[in-house]
Amino acid sequence: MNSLGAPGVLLGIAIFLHASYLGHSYLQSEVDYDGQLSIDLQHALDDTPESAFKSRGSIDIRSIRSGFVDIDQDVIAPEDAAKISALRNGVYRLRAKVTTGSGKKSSFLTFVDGCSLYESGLSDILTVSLDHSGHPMAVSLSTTKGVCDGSTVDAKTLRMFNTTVLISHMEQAPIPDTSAYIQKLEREKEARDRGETKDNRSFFAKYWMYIVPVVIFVLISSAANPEGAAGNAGGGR
Amino acid sequence: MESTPGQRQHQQSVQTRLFYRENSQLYGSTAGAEIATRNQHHNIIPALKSSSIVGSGKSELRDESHRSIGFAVLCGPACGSRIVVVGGPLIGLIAGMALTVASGPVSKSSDMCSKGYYILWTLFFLQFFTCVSCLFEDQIGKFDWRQRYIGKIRFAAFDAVSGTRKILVATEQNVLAALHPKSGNILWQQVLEKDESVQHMHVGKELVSVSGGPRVHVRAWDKTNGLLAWEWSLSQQQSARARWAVDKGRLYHVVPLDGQLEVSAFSLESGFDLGSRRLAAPWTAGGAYDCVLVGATVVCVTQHSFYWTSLADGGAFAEVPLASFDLTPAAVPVLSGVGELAFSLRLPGKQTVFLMGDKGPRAIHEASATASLLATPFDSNIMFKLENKPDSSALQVSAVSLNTGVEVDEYSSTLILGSKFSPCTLTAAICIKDECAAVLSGDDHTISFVNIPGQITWTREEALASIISTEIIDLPVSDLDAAIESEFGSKQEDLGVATGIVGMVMRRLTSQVMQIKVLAQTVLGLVQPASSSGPSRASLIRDTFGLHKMIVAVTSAGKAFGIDNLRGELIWQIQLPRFAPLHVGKSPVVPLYVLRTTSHVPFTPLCAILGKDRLTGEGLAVAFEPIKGLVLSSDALGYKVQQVMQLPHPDDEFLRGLVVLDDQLKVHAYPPESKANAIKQAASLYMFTTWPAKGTFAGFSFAHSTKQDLVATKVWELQLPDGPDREVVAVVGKNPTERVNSQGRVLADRSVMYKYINPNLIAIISQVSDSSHKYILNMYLVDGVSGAVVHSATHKRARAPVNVVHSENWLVYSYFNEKMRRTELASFELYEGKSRSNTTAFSSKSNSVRPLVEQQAYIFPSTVDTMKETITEKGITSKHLIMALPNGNILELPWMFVDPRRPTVQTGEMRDEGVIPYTPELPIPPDAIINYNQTVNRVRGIHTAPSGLESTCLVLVYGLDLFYIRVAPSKAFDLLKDDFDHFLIAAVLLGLVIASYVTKKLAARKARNQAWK
Repeated sequence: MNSLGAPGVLLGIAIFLHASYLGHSYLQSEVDYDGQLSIDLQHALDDTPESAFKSRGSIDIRSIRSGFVDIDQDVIAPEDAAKISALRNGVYRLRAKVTTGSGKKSSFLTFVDGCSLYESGLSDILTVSLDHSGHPMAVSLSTTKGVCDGSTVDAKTLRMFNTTVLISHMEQAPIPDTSAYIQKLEREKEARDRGETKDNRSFFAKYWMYIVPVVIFVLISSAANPEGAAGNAGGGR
Repeated sequence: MESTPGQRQHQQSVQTRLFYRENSQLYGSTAGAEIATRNQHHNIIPALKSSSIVGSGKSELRDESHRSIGFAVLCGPACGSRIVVVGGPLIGLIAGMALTVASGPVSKSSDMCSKGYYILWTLFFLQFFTCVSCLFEDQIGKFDWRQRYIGKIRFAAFDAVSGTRKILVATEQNVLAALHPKSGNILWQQVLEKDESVQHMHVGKELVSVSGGPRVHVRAWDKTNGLLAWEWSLSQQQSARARWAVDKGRLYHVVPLDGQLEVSAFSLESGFDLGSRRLAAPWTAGGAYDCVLVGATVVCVTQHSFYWTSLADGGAFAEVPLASFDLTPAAVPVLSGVGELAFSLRLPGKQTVFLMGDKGPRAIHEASATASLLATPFDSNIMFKLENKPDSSALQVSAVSLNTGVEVDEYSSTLILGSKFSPCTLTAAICIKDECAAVLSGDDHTISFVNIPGQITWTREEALASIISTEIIDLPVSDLDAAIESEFGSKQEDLGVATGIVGMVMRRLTSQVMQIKVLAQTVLGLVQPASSSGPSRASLIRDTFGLHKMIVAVTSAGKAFGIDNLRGELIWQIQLPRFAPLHVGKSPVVPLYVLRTTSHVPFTPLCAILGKDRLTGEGLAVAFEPIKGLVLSSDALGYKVQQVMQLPHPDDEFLRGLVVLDDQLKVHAYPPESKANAIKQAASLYMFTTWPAKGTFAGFSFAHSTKQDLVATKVWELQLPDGPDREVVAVVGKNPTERVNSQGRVLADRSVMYKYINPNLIAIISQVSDSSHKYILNMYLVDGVSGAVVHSATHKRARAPVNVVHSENWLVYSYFNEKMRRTELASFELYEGKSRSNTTAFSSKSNSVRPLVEQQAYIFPSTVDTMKETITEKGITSKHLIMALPNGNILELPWMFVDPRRPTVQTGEMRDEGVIPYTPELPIPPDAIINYNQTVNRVRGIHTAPSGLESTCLVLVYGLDLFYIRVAPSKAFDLLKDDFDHFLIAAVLLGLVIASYVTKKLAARKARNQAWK
């Protein structure tokens, strides 16, 4: 990698929003921890089992709570760009060495299909998954291009990685919602005590006991009294 | 789509109330209309008679669904519950017929056909009223069976004193039981706690057991019925060398302390501490000694001398040098008790039997080191000797007189076991008036009863109490069907028949000749068993509905079994000497794969199991034919197995081989000939593996495989952060054979929420402890191909035991909530949203969709031993959870109850969608217990398999006991009831047709007569 090239500094702020269905969107803001992470990125540009990993740049997450990210990645040398284009039939592997604010180190490995990295024009998304205490448990790479369609990109776009960093916090798992249920029961009880239970059953559910005998009666009478119909038919002749 | 007919029926089922009336009839109360069943001769099983069935916690559900479903709910057939409906349509028909009879003859109409509509309508209508349901007494055991096991014998004794003779046993699985000496049936059994191992058993007036530790329970059990007579407990320090003895109403406990032996005495019945003494035993200091209790005498041996003393009077140890018996052992010999009076001293190469007298041990007999010795109780003075002869697959039983030390020839016999041979030991023996009998315990966990002289009378296969993995396999088609299949099969050149028109004609003619032959034989009653291997094999042919299958079970005892699923008969068993299960963490696993199914005649079906060599620890793979139970090959792999995976696509011979990753991360194919096929698929092959101790998860790609070799390249790696007591408690993928029929869920506004169905999704649950919260349980959903973390959630103050069910687009797991001290179920459901990201094919690599997650938690009023989802052939039938509860019940819980979308406040939309409102606590309705009163003890696993019928799922529950049943989660919508009266319905239809013709004639005549008037 050409380390003489001017470092491209990208600043990306990413807050992971988890919008669950039915509209109650959930912003992970009540994180009771904050910390810094510095990620050292190394990538393998040869698609062989023993290929060497070389430095790609580093990412500083200043605050995992706010998602303030400082990205510092080197400009890609033309020969590396050629290698990336050659990776179209293979996989692009990225090793992320993460150091937490307290100095704990851990190493992660992730990959994308070479073609999707190439076709996206090196626009990749790096997701850092944190556990309950804010320590990283996974770093995974994806690109903005989901499916490869065999298109070619301009060589100029292969000069720099356009990286978005997402920080994925762990969500609070559900707990049995007893209080809401009890409140609901109490509300219903109050409503019943006030005698204003709204009967929101459907028409059939409410009046089936009247409808059914009528239907049976109609059936039986029409079955037992067929000559009326026959007589009418005869009369019409 | 999602709301299949079955699911609709579910909602309807909840308000069908069951009432039990004194006259043993079952009434269905359906909003006032009570109709008795016609099955008045049936008695309801006792489980139903409990009054708890009436209004069993369903009333609030009933109200809700009552409202929600309206007219059709009047009385939906109760479905989903085991104890359900009989004969709706028939009563409707009878009632309909009554109407017809009432109206028909008086009918003056010339147009009877116009009435048809009304009659049909009436029938349809009336059948809703007849939805009474129950499991009747004569249906017990019809769709299910249970087999009880006790495990490998640890202690055994004959009870010849009380009225009926029996064999009393205590087992490695902590079960106390009495066996019938004639049949081997269990007369009674008491299952102790899982970690309460039985340390001593004594048979006197009662059966006394000493079990558990460090809190030791001393219990006495009635020998005739197994009821607890009395019980007391004491705290004792744990020692592998502690010994227990019961003598003259006292319980002795001998524990070695450094340089001393502590003997504690207790009153047996009251537990009163009679004091303890410390006997100076300086020779115990180095630990180079062995002790045994012979009656109330403790005998110890070091490399040089015997030491003994009586427990009762407790003098100092007496000593006799071993040299005085001409024994000069190189190491410390091993002692083992031989009945109440004798013990044996085992040296490399030989063992010597000593009789314990007042003056010390007296050598009476010499036997080979491997012989198993046992003296009979009472005054018969006979010691039995059992020698294993693996060369001739036989056991040699002989008897030695304790008085003279000479062999008694009349009791000598040879037991030839053949292929079932496994080394045995004597565990109990008795002689009553020259009639002797012994109980043998095999290394393969068998219990055998031998009459001496004579043969083995019965054998219990106790290995079935330790099943590790099972598979339910289709039976092969009959020879006739096989011929038809090969006629139309595509692989013609393999059959050695010329292709082309001539060949086709020839094949056609031969197969038709064969069909005619079979037809003729059938007509003439000359049908011979299709297979030559005996009469039981002949019936092992696939049935129309695919309900008859073969259960293959692999046990930790190094034995595999083939079990007929209809009756539970053992069809075959294979011995796997040296085979030991692999371990993931502490739990044993045996990967069992079906390499080739039975559908590919003429290729033999093939199964493979992977384990490790008992001695070397290296991988061991066994390939066997699963229908006849023939071991085809047993290969030492020469490496340790890290991970194994089955190839997704079969080769030309329909063989789906295995790809095995060893601990050096090298890749192998099994069987080796499937390597070419593996290399062919390598480009799209990914493997996921985990190192639970390190908390590392990694994914491998095989894209770098060359034409000769498979190469695994690590492409992703996750690392769980270190934490105190970090433990990976569960890693659960999806069932690879699962099919998802419905791609989405229809919402009330008729739009579709598409499911996030990722077959590569893996649920990982880990537990860590924290300084502020005691335990934290983390759940991660990881894509096994791309390594992306799809979702993660954390439970504070929650811990294992965790049981996970991961299927379709949902995940349910149970955990223990430490704060509230209860078991809860967490339920997650993943959706892609209102549009599909990729409608044609799913790819983990190009799938960057973050799914929408619905989540909810429920209180479960019991702990859960294990759970599993039902699976059906096409995935149309709704899913139920089969849960094993620690009280021995098997619960079938509809997934709808743990649906994370159950709303707290029932809105109209949700009601239309058919989601039941949220209740925090889940019910355990008694009629959802599918094993009714047949307790299944200590369940370790549940295996579910689809049958040929979409409605029906086969369930095998294994643990200490085996329980098999078939369940129909959405009711048996594609199957007539087995008591469906074909004759009556045919007669009625015929009657109706005749009647309509007759009345037509009559009406025509009447019309003609009228016209003449």
